[in-house]
Amino acid sequence: MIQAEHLVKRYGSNYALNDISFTIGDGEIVGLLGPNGAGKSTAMNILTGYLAPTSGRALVDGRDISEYPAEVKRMIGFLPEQPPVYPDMTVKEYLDFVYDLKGCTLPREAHLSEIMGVTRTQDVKNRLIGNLSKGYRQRVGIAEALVGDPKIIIFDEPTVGLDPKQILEVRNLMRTLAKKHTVILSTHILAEAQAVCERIIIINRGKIVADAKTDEMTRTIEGGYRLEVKILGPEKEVAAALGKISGVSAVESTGERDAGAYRFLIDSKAGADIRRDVFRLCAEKNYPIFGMSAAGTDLESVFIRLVDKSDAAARGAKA
Amino acid sequence: MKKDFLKKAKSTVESRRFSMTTITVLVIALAMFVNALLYALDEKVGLSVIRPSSSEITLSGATDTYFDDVKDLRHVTLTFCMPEDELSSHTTGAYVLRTAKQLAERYPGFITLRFVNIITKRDADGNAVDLTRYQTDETGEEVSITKTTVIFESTRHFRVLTDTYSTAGFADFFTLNSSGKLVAYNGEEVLAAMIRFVLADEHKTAYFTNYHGETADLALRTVLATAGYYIKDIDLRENEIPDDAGLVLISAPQSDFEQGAAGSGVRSEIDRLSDYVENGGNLYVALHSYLKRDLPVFGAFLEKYGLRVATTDLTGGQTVQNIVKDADRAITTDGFTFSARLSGEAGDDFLSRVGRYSENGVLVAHTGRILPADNVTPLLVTSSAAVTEAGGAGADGAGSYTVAAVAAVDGAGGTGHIFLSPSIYLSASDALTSTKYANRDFLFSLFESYFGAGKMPYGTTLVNLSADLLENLTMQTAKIYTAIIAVIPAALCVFAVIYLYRRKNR
Amino acid sequence: MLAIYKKELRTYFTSAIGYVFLVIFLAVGGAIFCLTTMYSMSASVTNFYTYMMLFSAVMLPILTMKSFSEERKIRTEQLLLTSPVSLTGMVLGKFLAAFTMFAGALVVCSLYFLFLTPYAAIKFSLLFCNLIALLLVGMTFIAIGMFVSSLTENQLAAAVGTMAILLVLLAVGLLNQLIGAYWLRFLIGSISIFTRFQTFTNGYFDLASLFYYLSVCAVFLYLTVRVYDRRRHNG
Repeated sequence: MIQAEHLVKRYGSNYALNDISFTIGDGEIVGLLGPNGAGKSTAMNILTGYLAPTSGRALVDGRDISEYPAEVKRMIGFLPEQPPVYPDMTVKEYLDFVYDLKGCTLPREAHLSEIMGVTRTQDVKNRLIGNLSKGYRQRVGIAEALVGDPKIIIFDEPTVGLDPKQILEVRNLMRTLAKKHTVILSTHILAEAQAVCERIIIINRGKIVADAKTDEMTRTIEGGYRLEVKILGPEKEVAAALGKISGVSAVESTGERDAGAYRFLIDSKAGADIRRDVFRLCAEKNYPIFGMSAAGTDLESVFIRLVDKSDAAARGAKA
Repeated sequence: MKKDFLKKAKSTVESRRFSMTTITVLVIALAMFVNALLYALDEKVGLSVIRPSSSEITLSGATDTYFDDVKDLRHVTLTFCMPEDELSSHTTGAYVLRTAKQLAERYPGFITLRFVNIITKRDADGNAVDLTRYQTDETGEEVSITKTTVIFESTRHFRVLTDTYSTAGFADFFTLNSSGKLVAYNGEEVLAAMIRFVLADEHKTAYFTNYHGETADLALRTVLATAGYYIKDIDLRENEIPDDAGLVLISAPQSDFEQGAAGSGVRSEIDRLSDYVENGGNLYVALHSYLKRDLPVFGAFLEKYGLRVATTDLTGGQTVQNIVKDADRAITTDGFTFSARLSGEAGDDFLSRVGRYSENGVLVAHTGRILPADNVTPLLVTSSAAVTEAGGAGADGAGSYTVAAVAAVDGAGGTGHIFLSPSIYLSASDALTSTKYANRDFLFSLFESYFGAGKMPYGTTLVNLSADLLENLTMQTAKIYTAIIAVIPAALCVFAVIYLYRRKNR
Repeated sequence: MLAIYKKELRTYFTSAIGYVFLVIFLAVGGAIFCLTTMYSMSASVTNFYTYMMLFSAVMLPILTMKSFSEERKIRTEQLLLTSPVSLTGMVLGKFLAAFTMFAGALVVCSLYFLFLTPYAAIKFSLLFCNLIALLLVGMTFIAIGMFVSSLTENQLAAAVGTMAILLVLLAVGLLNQLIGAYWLRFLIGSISIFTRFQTFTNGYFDLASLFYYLSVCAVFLYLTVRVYDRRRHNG
């Protein structure tokens, strides 16, 4: 459905996008995840035709956006970071305008009512957008993206600035939409990506750092995982002993936790499950285990690690 | 591999930027070039789809026999200082050229046209022409020769008309309104008059008096020039009136003249004027109607020769002009402007000369009334009924009121004439440049009949360049229209405020 | 393009700007009309339109200042540029909306001449010529105004900038009469708005001038499109 091929966007000597390629299929709901400034918005702006890439191309439904801009844009509904609404129009007027703008052919009243229903904006339809709260404005923005029932809907940071209840509503809405549309959203909130998307693409500094299904991401990216144990015993000896377990790739002590008991983070190699080994070791050496849990297998640490790694790589490349 | 890719990306962007900038620059340059081209083409060929109708102007018929007395005896050359083709596409010169050609056609052999290129100093046949001899006129004044100069020449005299005061050129052949804008084309009259001028035996000078707050009266001066007078100013306190004075004009003085002590031996202004008139001189006097109050000495001077102005004005009123077309309903409702008709006593000659426009009459404004006397011939009159009906004050009896008259003065040296108009609007520029009123022809006739000037080119058509004057529009109606026009934006404003306020709170 | 045209036109009437323009234009235009005709006792058409042209140079920037500046500022240009409308369509839609406002107001003012018909023979062909001339000049001014508006987010800067450019252009045309060198006068005359306007007011409906106005208008609209195209490519 959507194919980005070697997209590069350069401003002077700064690369906002540095050779990004991905493919998104019909009906997927994909999250673009990355820290601020990673290039998520840039990528979206290129997909929607707002910006043109320095090189590379973006294809939607097989069509290059720079060659068939009108056709491609008709297939995409876009909600930018700031909802592009006119403060001195009413909601209804605005949606009428967007309807005309997109050259929509669906029956006007029915379609717009439906959209307003889905975004729950009927009760404010005659109010000036400038008089609405941020939450409502965001909903109007979502409504705008939905006009014309586009095949692809792209949201750029859709929940920024909303209160928790509103955030939940928006996320539910996106999940609902995903059933019938291809949805791409960008966010820097990991929990959001995890909660909403089936697939995550992590972008940092203009490059794709990871691209996998959500539930696989934690498993397949790094391979191994990390164990957090609280062990009572002399720090150095425990660490040394833990390090000797086969399958352990690194041991790190984080300092004292419970009187005498230190918290250790143990990285294990891919495929190795060292929990029993740790238990046996501690039993042998008589080091009581006060706690053991999988640590850093959540998306957050994966993310941070990936990002740090790519930053280091970039710094290394510069050096 | 990646590096090559990025390098390629870089060059694509730059080449695209370069090509788009180039295209933009080319587009602009092309637009400018084509425009300059078409502009040049237009100057040469004239790509106009619609053109104003300057090309339909023909002779009015008034000059058909104007030169019959001299055409077989004399010869006049008109020299233009532009090649003929350039002249025919000149905005104002085209008019003059056309009329000159029509005149030349009417009087073949009498009038010859010549076109000189003042840069190459050659005429159309390539002969060299010496223009330096025209640079000083017969009074010794320096005249400048430019592209828009026209030179009239006969074996006796030459006359150079150069317009140095307007940018269009050839303004001498047009009439200008009070703001200096070209109002009408008057070429036939001016060409005819100038041809007459260079054929005349002698040229008289018209002197305007100074130092009494007189008006500059440019329009009147233009008419005098057309009538063949040289024009100068004179300070009567210092100087005698010279012998070449064909006419002395006193145009709306505001302070009195000097009487001088009797027997003092010093000649006063009044002495000089008296001597002049009693020796066959001609005086043209235009006065504000409040004569007696402000100018007792001058008033006494006029009374000596039979000219008295009644103490009450015929009209009062506001200062905005309304123009009347209908001479029967002479005075407008503001009691200010009106058209006067010619008096039956003015004489058939006089009447016939002003005949063409007599139905519209002569425009005067804010005038007084001249009282009858034996040696005073009324020239312009209006009825008291008209004055009363239209609300003008000062109608103090039945009968007709004289608003312009000429007094004959029989003196030792000949019969002099004093023309009096107790209104300064007779020669107002708007009246003199109007195509509807007979003021010009009236003055021409006055000069010819009473002041001994030569044959005057009256009756020619003034061709309106811009739109006509508005007529019959009273102040009341104008105010109504203004109110309607003002209401529209006001209503819109009110509506907008209400609508936007209500909308804002939606 | 039609969508944008309708929206722009509607915006003029749902926000203050359209009314401000119309009220001032009609009020001052009406005053100019009264002063140049009824209070000067003249039925001259040319006078009125010449003053109106100078007045338009000051008023039209107010109409165009918002066109693109506002969109940029409130980020709605992102909506416009990601919708199926082409850049040209967007520029044309806004242009036509501004032009409609101007033309409407000008036609209303021109209708005032009907008041004068019982009092003088108004040359309607001359009036028509002048009206067309001023509409063409207005088109050009609007195009310039749009171009300047697309360069900045600040409406005031756009308005002032446009006014400055227009007044400089007019001044150049007026000062042209003082220049002696024929070729320089010719060159400036050929690009001067004022000179071209004068030929129209004298009753010449001339194709070279028509082309001139349309081409200047087109160049500036093209430049506006280029501004956006450039932004697309260079961020």
